[in-house]
Amino acid sequence: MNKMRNNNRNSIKKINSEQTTIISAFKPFILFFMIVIVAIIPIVALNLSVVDIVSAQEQQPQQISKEKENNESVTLENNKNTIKDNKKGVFHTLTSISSSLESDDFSLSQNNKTSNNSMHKIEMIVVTLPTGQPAYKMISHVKSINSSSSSDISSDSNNIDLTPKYSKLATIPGPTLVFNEGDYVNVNIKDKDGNLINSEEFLASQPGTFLYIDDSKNGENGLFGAVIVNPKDNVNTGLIKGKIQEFPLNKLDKDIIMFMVGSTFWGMEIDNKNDYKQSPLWTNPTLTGVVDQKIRFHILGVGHAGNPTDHQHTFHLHAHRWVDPGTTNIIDVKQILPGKTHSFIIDVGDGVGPGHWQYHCHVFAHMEAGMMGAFNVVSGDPAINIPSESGASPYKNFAAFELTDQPAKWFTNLAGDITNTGTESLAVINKSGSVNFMMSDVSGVHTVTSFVYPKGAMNMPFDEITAYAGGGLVKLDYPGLYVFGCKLHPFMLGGVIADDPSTKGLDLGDEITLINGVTVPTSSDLATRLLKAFFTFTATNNWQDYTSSSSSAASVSSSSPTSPWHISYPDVDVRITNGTVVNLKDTLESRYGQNLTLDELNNPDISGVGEVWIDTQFEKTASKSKPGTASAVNATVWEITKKVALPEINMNNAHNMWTDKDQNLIYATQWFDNKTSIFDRNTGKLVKNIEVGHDPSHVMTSTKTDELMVALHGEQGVALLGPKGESLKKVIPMQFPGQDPSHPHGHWMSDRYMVTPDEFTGTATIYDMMENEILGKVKTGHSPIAIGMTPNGSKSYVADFFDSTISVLDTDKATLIKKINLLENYDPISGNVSGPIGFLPIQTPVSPDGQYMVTANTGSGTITIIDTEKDELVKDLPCSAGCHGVNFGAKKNGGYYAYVSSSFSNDLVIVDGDPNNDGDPSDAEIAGRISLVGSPETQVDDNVTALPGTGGMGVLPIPIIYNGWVQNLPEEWKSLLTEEQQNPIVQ
Amino acid sequence: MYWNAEYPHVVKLSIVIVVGFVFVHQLSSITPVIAQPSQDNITSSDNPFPKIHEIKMAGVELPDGHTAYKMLEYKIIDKENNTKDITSRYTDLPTIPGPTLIMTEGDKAKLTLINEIGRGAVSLHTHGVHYTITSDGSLKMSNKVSDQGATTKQSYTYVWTAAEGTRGSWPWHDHTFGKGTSGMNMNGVETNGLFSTVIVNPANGKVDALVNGIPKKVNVEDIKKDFVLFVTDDAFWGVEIDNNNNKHTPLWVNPTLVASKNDLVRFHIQSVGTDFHHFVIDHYEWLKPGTHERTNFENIGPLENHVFTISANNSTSYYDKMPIHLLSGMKGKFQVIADDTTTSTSSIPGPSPKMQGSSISKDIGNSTSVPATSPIIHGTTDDSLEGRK
Repeated sequence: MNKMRNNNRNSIKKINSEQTTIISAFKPFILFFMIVIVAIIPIVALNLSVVDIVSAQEQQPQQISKEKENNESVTLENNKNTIKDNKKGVFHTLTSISSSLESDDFSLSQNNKTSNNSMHKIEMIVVTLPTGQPAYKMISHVKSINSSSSSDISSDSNNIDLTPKYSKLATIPGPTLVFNEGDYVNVNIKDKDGNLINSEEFLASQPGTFLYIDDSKNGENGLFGAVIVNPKDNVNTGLIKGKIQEFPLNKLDKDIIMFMVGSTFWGMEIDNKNDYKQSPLWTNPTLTGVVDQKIRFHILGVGHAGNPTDHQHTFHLHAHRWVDPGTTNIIDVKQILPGKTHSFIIDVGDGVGPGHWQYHCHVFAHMEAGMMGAFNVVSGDPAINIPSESGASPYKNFAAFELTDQPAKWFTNLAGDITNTGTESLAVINKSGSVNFMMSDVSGVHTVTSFVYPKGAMNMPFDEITAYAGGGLVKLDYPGLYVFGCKLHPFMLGGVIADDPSTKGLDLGDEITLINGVTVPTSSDLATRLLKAFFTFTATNNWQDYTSSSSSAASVSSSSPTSPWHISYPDVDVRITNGTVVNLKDTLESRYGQNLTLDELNNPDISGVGEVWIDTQFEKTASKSKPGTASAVNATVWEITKKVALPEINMNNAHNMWTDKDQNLIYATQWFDNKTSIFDRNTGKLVKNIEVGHDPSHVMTSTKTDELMVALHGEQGVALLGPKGESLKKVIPMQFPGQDPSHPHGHWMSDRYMVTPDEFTGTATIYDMMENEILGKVKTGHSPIAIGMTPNGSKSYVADFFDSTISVLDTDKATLIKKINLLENYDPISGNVSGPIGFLPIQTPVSPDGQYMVTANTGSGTITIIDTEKDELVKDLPCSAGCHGVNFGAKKNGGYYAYVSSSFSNDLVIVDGDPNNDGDPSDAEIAGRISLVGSPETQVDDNVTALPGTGGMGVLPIPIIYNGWVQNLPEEWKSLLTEEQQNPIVQ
Repeated sequence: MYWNAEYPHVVKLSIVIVVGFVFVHQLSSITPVIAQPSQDNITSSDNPFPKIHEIKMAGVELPDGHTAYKMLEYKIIDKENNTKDITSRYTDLPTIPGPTLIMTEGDKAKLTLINEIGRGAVSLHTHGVHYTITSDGSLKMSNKVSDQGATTKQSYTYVWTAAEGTRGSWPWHDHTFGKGTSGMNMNGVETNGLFSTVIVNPANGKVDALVNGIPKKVNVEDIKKDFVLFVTDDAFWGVEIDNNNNKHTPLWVNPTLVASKNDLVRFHIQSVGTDFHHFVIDHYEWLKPGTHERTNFENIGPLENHVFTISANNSTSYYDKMPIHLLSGMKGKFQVIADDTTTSTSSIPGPSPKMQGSSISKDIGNSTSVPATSPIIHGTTDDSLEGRK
């Protein structure tokens, strides 16, 4: 932390010397200017990463350690404590930064105080709104003329009580504090019980508009506001009737203060014709002005220093222009970075007249996420102000979600667990209510996408064509069930029931439409299966636990009984198809049972070869704020030998792995971050942490060069790194410029081709690594997520996640051969199952001998087997909750095991796809099931504290025995394999 | 009014609106929607020769999911009502960016857009210049007046006034074309190619420039070339305007810009998309717009613009220094040719999107093959990072 602070301080000083304004004049004074300084930190960080690629990479560890420190004081397992602690900590980090910036020009500022200036004494409190969002409320603002220090305020006639100018409510944004240049200010911040949280004094020596914000994620969730310091000469430059001129501030009709937060505007208006009264405008308001009025806009970027992605915006107002301050440049778009402010005077309707002129963020994904409103310019008497119309407010029919990197809490309703089921990802509002999303606690990029919505609902589907940092605001006019999720990480779910209060039961609606366009009745089996999945995914207490209840950290022997699988459902009446009202808990329990006995753990009779690495992506350890470890299983004795958490880099949601040709290094992608980590397979020690681009998902190596290909799920291509990850050499775009971004997830490679599943465009791209060009693109099903390939690369298989199909491609011709429907034996209405099924398929590798394919289906918790000769579904096998990852390893003395991981469980399923080795997979069976929970003998670099063994994602058996890689193995690994295993397709 | 008195055909235009007369149009099957002309007076006395620009363009779709604007007709009518057809300055292909429009403070434009995409509504929303609400080019859900895009059944006409105080280089783009894959919030598909620039030259004909390192006011007419570079999420898209012959040449993706040594060239850096960029031309400095402050980079976000004029002194590279973008190939060359008697000074276009052929978006659900488009750009390792630290 200290290191980071120092770094920031140096950077701030650098900015001071280069930019001369804003900060230097405030150094000695504490509160709001420290806030300004804090708010500038993200900009500094941005500049660093932009200006110098090399040094930006070098600084990564510092950023991580900072992030870690930010979260250190909170109890990670209890979100309520987190919020509480953060509230206690309002401004506390600011104070420490401010003390570190105490400088020697205090006396200079003292001299600046002139006897004509005013003294302000302000008291604000922090209140929690009904949505769970924190907000500031003005308690008292007293201005006294001709005072020179805080102790001079007394009840004499020089005191003016400004408190009535402010809203009586706690508001987002917080009160706008307006001073004149040279005023002296004392601010006390208290909690709702009146306990002093912070007290600061400062001299308003620099004119301008400044952001104040709490230095935690609560800053983005509601604790921010503006300070306006008007200049002594009381004029601002404006573009008036097409000419750049000085305009007296006392002739301004309004001040409109707009904060760009996530992907939502939050506003405040000051009515200069009505004693400067402040009115909160809440979200995306309709601003109002009369033609020829002069309104000063203040646009502020909100973001906290701990969020490495930053929420960057460009503000645009239709049909109006203004002067970029400090220049004669006329603009109508301005970038607004976190902590940055932009003030300008608008000559209302000049040359364009009345109109409902749109204002919006011009970042395309933010536009799609609804970051817009209107400036309603009306004709009329400019001497009379018309109040702006406020938007949706947290006081009325509003839900606020925060996106996080924490298991199950990916979409956290700030109001907490409202159903007493353990899920914090469900909100209930009335129809026509609004839902706000904030990516305030995530390190990567995401989308906010309507996975499920009532058939025909307005504003639906809600979606973005690219992943981004920000948030969203959406109005839910139709009653019914809405489930929002991230398209990149489709287990990140936030549910909203928009209820019609005039009907009995919470409205789920008659029918729901799914993201792939399928519509089913809410009474259907498919609908209730999705609800079951929702409650399973979003509450860790609803996950499967193969750990013996008495010894969570102890070794689990294969005979230990495991706890039954209990899923807590809300005990509420819901209104479904045809207005039928049923109890949700009863319905789900009667359809799917409760307290189901989990399959017993048992080691396979025949050993595997080498070791099997599993990304236990949700396992939490003591020294990290972010979840995720890589767990190693010794396949000879089926014991957990190693767990690698990499606390020194706060490894974040390790998702998928591969290794070099010597099998010595493990490459692990941080799917919720922007780095790929490399550690030593034997020692578990970190070798390197490389920034590759947002949300790296899967990694494989070239069989020819041993170079790494890392799919950048949050970007538009695949990163190419040198052998052993020596450097990031290039990023290979997976589309022509201007085509919609592909967002590839789980690619696969042959000697010549790389095939990527382009999750956002519904295509698979065949990239020719020899010619270095895209051979072609093939339309697949909805949300292709992972690829399997026959050993010679001739056929590729694409798991189409939301369609539950497998698209079979001719790789060389880049054509679709057929689609295999994994739900052909399932009736979505009745739930009748007449054969093997797979719902929501993910990883889908082909056996190294090319005989069959094993697919992990996360929705159905099944493993499906496809015969690759006929490309037909032949069998399914029971998996665990959130069945996710598959890869093949060698079975001792010949044959293969498919190792299958599950996200919402802590077991590993070992499948023998062809026990009799006749090439026909119809006899596929589960050979064993082992726990991924470590034992006291497990080698660790950090202590597991929660969710042991959970989050099974990527699987990497060592040695790699796929064709092309197996031939490159060092002799000591080859010697463990049979002749057939060493030559998988020469048969 | 000045507007009506000086431009009688515009009065006719107003009458068209009032009586609902069917505007005689090149495409007779298309009923036009014409926005009301801007009512403000031109007060810019610096421009003694204000002109009317009558422009017809189409929105089209290309096979691989790109959308683009295409110039159909461009006439300039001067104060004496003389008409000059300048259509031939433009290519008749759809281009990305779309056709660059060049006006001067005091000019007006009437732009008619037709929809050759074959579905939806494609529009033209501009930044910077004056227009009334019916020329906003947005959807009724935001402007509360009308859906202001061209549909397959009717064109749409926009009226702009480059009034005093609108000098600059402004992006214009689609603001209505939804794609169905994204929801009601779609505000156009500017990311797929429906974007371009209108250059509004100052009425006094002078712009700031950094000439051989010295800040100067230069005459717009002395600028030899204008380069428009749109920085998008994954490429630079360029256009060259050669002011010797007034030719507009599409330069497509990450082109090589070429200029003669010591020539004045003006860069119009524009941006659309979601990402932010760090634009650099190695070894060059220029003036920050509206200041005499020198800079050698610009952090640019979506729909910001950054315009500067420099003298072409030495060959170099331009690029986006954001690592992910640079490594994806967002860079190009700026070649300065000393001896332009033997060497062409035309810029060298980069790869372009496919113009004809089967489209993946039209064959959803079928067994389709999508052949590769023209050469895909790859990040190369040749001259990339070394020397740029």
